[in-house]
Amino acid sequence: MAPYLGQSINKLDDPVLVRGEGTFVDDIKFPNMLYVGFVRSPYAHAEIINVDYREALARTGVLAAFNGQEVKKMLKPYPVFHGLVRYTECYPLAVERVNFVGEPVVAVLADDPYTLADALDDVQIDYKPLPVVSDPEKALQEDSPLLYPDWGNNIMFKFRVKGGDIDLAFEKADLKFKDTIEIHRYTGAPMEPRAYAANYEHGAKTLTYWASTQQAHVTRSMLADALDFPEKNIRVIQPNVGGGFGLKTPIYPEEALICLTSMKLRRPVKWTETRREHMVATGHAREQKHYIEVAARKDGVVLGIRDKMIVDLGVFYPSHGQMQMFVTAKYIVGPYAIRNVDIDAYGVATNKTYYYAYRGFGKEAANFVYEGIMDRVARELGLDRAEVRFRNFIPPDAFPYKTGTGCTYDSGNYPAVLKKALDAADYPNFAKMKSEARKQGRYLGLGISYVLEPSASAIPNSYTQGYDATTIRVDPAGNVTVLTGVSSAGSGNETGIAQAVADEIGVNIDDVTVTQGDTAICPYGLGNYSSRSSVIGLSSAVFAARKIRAKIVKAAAHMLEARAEDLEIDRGRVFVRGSPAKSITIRDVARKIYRDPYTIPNLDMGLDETYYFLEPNIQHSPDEEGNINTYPNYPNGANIALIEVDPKSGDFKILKYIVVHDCGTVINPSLVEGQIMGGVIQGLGGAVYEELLYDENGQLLTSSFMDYLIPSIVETPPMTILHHVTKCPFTPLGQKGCGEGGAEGVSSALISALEDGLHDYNVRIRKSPLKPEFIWGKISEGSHNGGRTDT
Amino acid sequence: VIPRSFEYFDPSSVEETLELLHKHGSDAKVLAGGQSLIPIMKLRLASPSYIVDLNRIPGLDYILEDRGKMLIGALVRHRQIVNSELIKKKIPIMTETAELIGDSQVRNLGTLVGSLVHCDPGGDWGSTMIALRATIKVAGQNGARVIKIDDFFEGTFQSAIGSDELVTEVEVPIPKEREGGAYMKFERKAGDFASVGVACQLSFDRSGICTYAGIGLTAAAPTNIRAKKAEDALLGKKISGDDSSRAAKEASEIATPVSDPIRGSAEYKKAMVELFTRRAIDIAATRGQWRE
Repeated sequence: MAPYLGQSINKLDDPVLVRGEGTFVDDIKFPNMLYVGFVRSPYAHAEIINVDYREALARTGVLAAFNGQEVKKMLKPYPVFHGLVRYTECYPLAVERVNFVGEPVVAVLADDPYTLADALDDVQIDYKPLPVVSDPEKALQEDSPLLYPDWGNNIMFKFRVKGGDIDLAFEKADLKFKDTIEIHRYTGAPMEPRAYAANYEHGAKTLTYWASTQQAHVTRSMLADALDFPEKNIRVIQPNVGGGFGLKTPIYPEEALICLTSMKLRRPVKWTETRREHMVATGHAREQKHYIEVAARKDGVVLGIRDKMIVDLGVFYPSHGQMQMFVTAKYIVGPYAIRNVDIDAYGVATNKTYYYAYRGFGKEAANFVYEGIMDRVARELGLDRAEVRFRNFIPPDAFPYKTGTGCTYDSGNYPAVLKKALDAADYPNFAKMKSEARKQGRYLGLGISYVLEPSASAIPNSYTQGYDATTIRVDPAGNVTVLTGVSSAGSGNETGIAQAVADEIGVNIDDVTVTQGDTAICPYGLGNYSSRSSVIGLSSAVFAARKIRAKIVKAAAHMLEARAEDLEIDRGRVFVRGSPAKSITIRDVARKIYRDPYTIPNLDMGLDETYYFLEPNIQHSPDEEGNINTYPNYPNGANIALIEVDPKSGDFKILKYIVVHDCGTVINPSLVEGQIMGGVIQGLGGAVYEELLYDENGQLLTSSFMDYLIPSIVETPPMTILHHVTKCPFTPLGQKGCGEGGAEGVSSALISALEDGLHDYNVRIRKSPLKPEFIWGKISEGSHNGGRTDT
Repeated sequence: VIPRSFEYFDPSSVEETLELLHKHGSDAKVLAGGQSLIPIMKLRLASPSYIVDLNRIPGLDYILEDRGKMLIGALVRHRQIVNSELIKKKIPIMTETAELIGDSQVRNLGTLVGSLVHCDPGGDWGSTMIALRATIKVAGQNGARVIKIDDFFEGTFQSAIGSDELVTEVEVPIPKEREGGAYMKFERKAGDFASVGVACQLSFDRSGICTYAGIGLTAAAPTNIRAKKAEDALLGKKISGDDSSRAAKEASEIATPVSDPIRGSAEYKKAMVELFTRRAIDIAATRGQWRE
């Protein structure tokens, strides 16, 4: 029968979730459970003078309270995540100083959430405010106040990325220009905020921890370090997760404290963050500033990019969040054959919430820069915007392609993908459509953005690696259980894995169960991030399934009195190729192996196989220029936005959004389309609506959905999503990832469309978010610089 | 939602409600749709000691036409107004306004009266009621009284009713023939508060002269306000493009919006008051079939 591969099979967990029958952490309840809550700092920077929680403790139903000094004595500091950035010790609660608004200072535990909320209001904390560092550029000045006095300055992460000969590129250039690009601070807002529950069983000395996480095993390893408790005695369970987006990778300050208090008080403890807490205390992302210089030839070919980038990393916290700026720098050339690059990067500490992984992981910022460059080159030289991109693309026959910055791209056909998108947008006729609309007083614009989406990252000496594992077990009834080290935060990769395993073994998908996110059951794996589950995890599942199939075929050959290589398995039946009438079932084979093993000669006993897949296209030892390759797969795609602008208000509407995406072999088209669609909406949120705004005192002004605006279905544009397949040579099915690309190109596509639509007004945009007032201001600014003045 | 503790009452009559309000005074809060009260209790911005829930009182959810007026009871939800054929036929600007309020959940529960009493300058109903010159019926232990909409909004979150009084009804004059109205809500996204909003209601005589003009502004001042000079610029005119521009300028001049980083600076909001007043007048005039 037709393979499952390539079919739009509904997500296996849809029925459960749609009926509201899922189990999320907040659904987990024990009769004697305690609720923990946090008093958080109202100051961005202050010394803690005194903490008094006696009044809270006096309340009936309040069991305990802890301050930072007390907690520090009972825990190890959170471990170094990777050695690339500076480090300072971090604990669940602030110890002597608070460094951002929302930092947890005191934890209170009570019998019920109502008593808890009242008790939190009872806690008295005296602070002595310190000067606030809120501007990363001022933070770099010598007279700036310091967040971490022993560092000597506020630089958390400094590096240089170089490739080729940048000086020569500028010598040869016909066109040189400078630009300043600013991307604002924003982050993800999963439907389910963070939630954790811990239950320590004193007799057995085991700790069970339920977490709304993307990485159960990594959580276990990091908890073991922080708690100084044997990892073997910890079990981490990831129940249903209502969205992760990178923000649910471990480990957050509150987590070790939740476990610690369960161990100390010998009772189950739970915490579910509020939305307001999510905005101040779950990680932030973006906020990058780039001072670029570009060298290009008069035919539009870009020769080199110089960039000084300054990134507002907020306070230090040991997570992989800071690596996002490294990714931006490494992929500043995107899909283009720009060989000469010199980037000076400064990641700066300020009194804001810490940086954390968020969908896009720095690639969206690279896209913002390189697509801005393409549009500006086209404008300066009077060339067509699409044509400039075609002239700069890495050609399809150049793969695997090593960039000037030492990254090895696996495969791609960028011109074919862009061409498909331009055709879908009827690009050649757009100019005519635009001028006809203008006659009716309407302003249409078309924007182009090409997205490079490096996937499945592996960072040296960290829990971010290019391996994962699958164990497959066939039981005596012939059913297949797949245990994977990857996980799903709701994205549906378990469905794709079930499809691949069903095909590889030859069973019905209904006979396959995929289990994820339980360290007591699943092999050690790294969970879900960087679009890796369907790349690394699914590849390990394919190889494990092939091992299982070989064992089934070997036993079946004996039963059917045929040669193993002549056998075929289809939908659970084993037969000699060409003679499906005479068949036995996998259940027959499994029962034979489990119940009658002595009758099968040379039996390799058991139907239980584990396979660790290590993605080969990673290079952690530096090359001659000192560069490493941290991403193995390079999905990519073209975005085209068609918009209508109201030049009088600065507001605009997206009439159509087109994405042509290449993630190699498509396992399940509807899952890929879902990822792209959700990504585009999330990208639209970041481009236009969502903004983490701080005042100069370090107060977050947008800490609820009243001010942090999230796009709804009303704002969601009509989308056309098309696929293009360029197989990956490094994965068994040729698949790449698809989780992030949707979110990465929206800002630049909309800027491209706005500049096109407002061409008469000479509008130039180098900054986000694209708020109506901002566009309105740009229109009047453009009018003063030779554009139309009739608004 | 984890508010501070409070005592809850669900009276079954207006009289009983008034007794409770009299007894507990400003420590009590009236709950109708709860779409403003519950969020502020959740955030603990307000922690009333007593909640008096109107939802068990029968007979407060009426929409009735009576001698040229539309009477709207205190428990009429936005959704009822959206769905009312009577309102759509007689006062279409109210249908248009109701459709733009909040999101579906807010419209299902929130009430017109609750929205007015809350006195949020970003409320949509205030402007439309100003444009229609509605009156508010108030009950109290010392008897009932009627407040004109222009006297109702005393300040941000501050209405003209006493803590022991209850709004029972809103009375909306039904526009005469050859009428046209428009509510324009300029919002960052669906369901957001208006960055600015403009309600415009016009009527014309047989020769196309504007005989009635009502213009209310949302999020343009500490309360919803009437743009009186803008109305005056239209009355007695056959409305031309110049007239609507002049009226829009007047509206913008009385606007004193607050700068906010999400929805815009005061300067921008004033410009948008002008833009959307002009557009609202033009649409209302077109709908009234008198647009030159």
